[in-house]
Amino acid sequence: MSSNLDKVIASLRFLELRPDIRTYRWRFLVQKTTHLAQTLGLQTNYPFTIYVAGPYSPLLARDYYAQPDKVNALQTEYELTRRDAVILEKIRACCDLYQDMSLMECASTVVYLMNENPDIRDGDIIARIKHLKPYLGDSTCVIGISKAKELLFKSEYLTEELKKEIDMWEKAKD
Amino acid sequence: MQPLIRTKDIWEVELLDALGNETLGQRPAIVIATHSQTDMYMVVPLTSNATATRFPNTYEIPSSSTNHLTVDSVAMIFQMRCLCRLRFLRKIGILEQNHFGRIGVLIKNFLGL
Repeated sequence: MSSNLDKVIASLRFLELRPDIRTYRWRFLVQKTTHLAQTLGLQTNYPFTIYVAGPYSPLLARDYYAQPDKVNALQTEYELTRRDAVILEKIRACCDLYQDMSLMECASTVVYLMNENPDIRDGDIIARIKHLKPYLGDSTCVIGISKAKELLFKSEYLTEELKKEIDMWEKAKD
Repeated sequence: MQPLIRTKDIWEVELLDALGNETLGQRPAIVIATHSQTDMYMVVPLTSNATATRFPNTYEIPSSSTNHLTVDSVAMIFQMRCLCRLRFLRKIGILEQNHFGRIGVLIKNFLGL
């Protein structure tokens, strides 16, 4: 039977990431990638809480510290489902998160907060982020929120009422 | 004399259909940039539909005595567009600098600049 770590490794392989779990950067990225994928529905079942650098799972850390070579070699027999692939494609579409650790830290924290409270307001998120992470700039906060919305977006949010309103603007030609 | 349309202004604009023969409604919008030579203005539409905030490239603006919005609104950056002066009906208020700055950040990010 495949372990949770196998699913994480299969996800990293799908995303064409080449982790080096000995480095802080990669432990950070593995934690955040797993958190994002799990929040979007990939069933890895790691419990996450907010730590210093955003969502963090001590159990996931225990697993990759126990088998670092397996993670670095992306060694697993686990095959992702079609649904898993759809989830991971959504993360791949936000690839700029992998080039900016601050943005990844912010976006994954916002995803955590929005998952806890789906009705949280933008202003409240900015206030929470500024309280939790005063070192993150205003621009990072604002873009991080938008990235989180992109990841958590569901097609049903485009309601008929909203579609009508958007169409109205579309028809304003000049 | 025509009133000046300035960046950061919030205006009520009139939206017509493609044929220009049917009034579909008036909506508020934030003026992002002006081009006086052609009398064209780049705007970000606002909506009071709270569901819009779930879209990426949106930003929530609470109503205030400065912006004079009657309800909390969502700036739909992804719907940004250029409009001619004829569509501008009346000035509602002025957007606060902190919100305008954040919308600017989102526009740059949306356009990949």
